[in-house]
Amino acid sequence: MRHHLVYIFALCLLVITRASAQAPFTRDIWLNDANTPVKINCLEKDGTGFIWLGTDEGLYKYNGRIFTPVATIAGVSVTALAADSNRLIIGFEDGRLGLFENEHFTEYRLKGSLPVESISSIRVIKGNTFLAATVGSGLYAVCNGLCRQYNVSSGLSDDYLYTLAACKANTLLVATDQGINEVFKDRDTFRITHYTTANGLPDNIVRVIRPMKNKSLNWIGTHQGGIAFYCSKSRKVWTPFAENSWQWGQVNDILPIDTTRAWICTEEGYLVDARIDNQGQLSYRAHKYPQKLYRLLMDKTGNIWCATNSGVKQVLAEYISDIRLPAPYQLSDITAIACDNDTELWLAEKERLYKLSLRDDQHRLNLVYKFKAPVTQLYCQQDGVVWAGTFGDGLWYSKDHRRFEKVTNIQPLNGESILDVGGKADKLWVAGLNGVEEMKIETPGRLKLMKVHNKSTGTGSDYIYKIFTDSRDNIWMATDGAGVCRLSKNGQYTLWDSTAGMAGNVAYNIAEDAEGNIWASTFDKGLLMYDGRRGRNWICRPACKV
Amino acid sequence: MESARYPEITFAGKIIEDVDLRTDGKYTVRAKGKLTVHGVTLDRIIYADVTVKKGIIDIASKFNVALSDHDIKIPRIVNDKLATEVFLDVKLTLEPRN
Repeated sequence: MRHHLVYIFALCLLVITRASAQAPFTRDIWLNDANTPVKINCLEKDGTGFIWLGTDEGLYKYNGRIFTPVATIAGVSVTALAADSNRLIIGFEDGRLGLFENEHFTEYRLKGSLPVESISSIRVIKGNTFLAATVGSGLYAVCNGLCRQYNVSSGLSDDYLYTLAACKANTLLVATDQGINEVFKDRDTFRITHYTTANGLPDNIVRVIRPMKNKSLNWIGTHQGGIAFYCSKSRKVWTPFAENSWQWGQVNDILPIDTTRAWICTEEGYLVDARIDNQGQLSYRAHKYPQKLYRLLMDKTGNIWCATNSGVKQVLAEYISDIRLPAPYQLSDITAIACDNDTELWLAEKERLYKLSLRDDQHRLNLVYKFKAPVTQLYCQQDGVVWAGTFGDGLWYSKDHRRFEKVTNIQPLNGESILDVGGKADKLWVAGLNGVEEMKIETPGRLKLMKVHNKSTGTGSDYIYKIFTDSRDNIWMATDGAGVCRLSKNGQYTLWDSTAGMAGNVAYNIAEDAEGNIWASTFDKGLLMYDGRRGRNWICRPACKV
Repeated sequence: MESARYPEITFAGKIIEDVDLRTDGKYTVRAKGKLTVHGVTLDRIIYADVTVKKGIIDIASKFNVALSDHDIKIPRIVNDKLATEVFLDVKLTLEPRN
C-alpha cells in the first residue's frame, strides 16, 4: 500500500561538519574565470570528441581547452543531453526539449501530451524519434513533432524515472523509484516487466543502469543498496557478493570500463573503483571528494570527466596509475627509468638494473644486471635493444635483455659520463659531459659515429641534459648554460638563451605536444613553451612551475 | 532566509517503501518528493521513522538542507559564523478525522 503525505516543517540550525580525504590524480576545473561554482547536471560527448555539459547555468561546450557557453533557453537548467551523429538533443529542468544542430539551437515545438517535469534522461531511437524520461511524470516518446506520454497508468511502476538504457532489440531498461522496468516494444504495444527487491534488487530506488561493453550484463546503481546486475539474456537481477559492503551512499552514475571494471560516483562525493573477480565477487576502492559527484564520462583519450555540484573534475585514473615499488625499494632511489615494447619497465637503482612487468600486479623487481658505475640513463629502442648510459663507464646495450655489452668502438664514449640517450629510427644520440655524439645504428647494438656536437660546433654548451627529436625531425637540446639549442635538418644550430628570448640559461627537459609546440622545463623560470607552427618565441606558462 | 517573503517550507511526496500504515508497528521509510525552501524546489529523498499505534501515525525525521542548494545567501559579515547547511528535526502526528 502506498501513501501520499504532505509535511509542513519548521527550521532549526545546527553546524554540520564534513570529513574529506585526499584522492589521487584529479583536477578540478571551473567553468568560468571567477571560479564561481556551477552545478553540472549531465555530460555528453559528440562524434567529433567535443564534451557537452548541461548545467544550472545552461549548456557549455568544451573543446579540450576552454569551456564556451552555448545559448539555449535563458535561465533554465539543462538536465539531460543525448548526442546523435551531429545533433545534440537537450532536456531542460522545466520539461522542455531542444535541438542543437549546425551551431544553432532550436526549441522543439511539440504537439500532444508535453512533459512539465525535469527531463532526467534522453535516448535517441532513430531519426526524429527519441524518448525522454522525467522526474515525476513518466516517459515521453517524441516522434516527428508528436509527443506521447507513458506513465503509471500505462504500466510503468513509477513516474519518477532516472535513466534509460538500451538493452537488446526493441527493449529498453528504465530506472525508477520502484525498481527496474523492462519495456519491450511489440509493434504498437508495450510489454513491461517490473524488477524490484522481490526479484533480487538491493533497493527499489534505481538511480542508474549502464550496460557493460560487449556483454548482456548491466550495472545497476541504487539509492542506498549499492550495486546490482541485470542480465538481459537470463532476464535476472542479482546483488553480487562484495568483499566490503556498500557504504558510499546514493549511486549517481556508473562508467563501465571493461567486462570486469567500472567507476562509480555517488551523491556523498565518493569515486569508487569497482572490480569483478573470476568468481563474480565485487571489490571496491573508494576515494572521497568534497563535492557531490553526479555524472561520469570518458573522453576519447581515456580521461574520465566527473560532473560535480561546483564544476567538472578531470580524473586521470585510467590514464595514469601509480606503481608502488615493493619494500625495500623506493622511487626516490631510482636513477633511470624506461619502458620497452613488451610493457616491461626498466629501472636502475644506481649500479643495479631491474625489470618490472606492468602486467604483474605485485610489481616485483627482477635484477637483470649489475654495472660497475651508476646507471644515469636508459633508452629502449623499437627493435628491442636496451641502451644504458652510466656515470663514468660509457654506454652499454643489451639485445637479449639479460646480458649487457659495452660500446667500445666509439672513442669519445669510452669512460664518458652519460647525461642522456635518445634516438629515432636508425639514429642514436648520446649526450655526455663533452657534448653530443650523433651515431648511426648499423646493426642491433652496432654503432657508427656520424658527428660530434658541442660548444665549438654551435650547441652553446658541452653540457646537454636532454636530446629530443621532434615530429619534424629537428633535434632539440636542453643545455646547462646556453638555454635551448635546435639543430635543424640542414645542420643549422639555433640558440635561445637569456640574450635571445629565452628566460634563463639552464633547461632540463624538452617535449612536444600534439599541436607541435615545444615545451622546456627550466632551472628557475618554470615551464616555457615555443609555438612550433608560428615560430613564436618562448613564452612562460605561469600556471606550471616546474 | 527572508522568512517574511518565504514564510513556508514545504515537502510534498510519497513513501517509497511498501508499508501498510493501517497495521500497528514501527517502520523506517524513505519519502520521495519536492522540498521547497526559500522558494526553490528540489527533488529529495528523506528518511523518516513512522510509528503506527491505534490509528495514530507519528512521524519523526531529521535531514540536512544545504543553503546554497536553495539560493540562500549568507551575509559576508557573518560568513564564518553560520553553517552552510541547516539541520531539520521534524516531528508530526497524524490522527484520524472524526
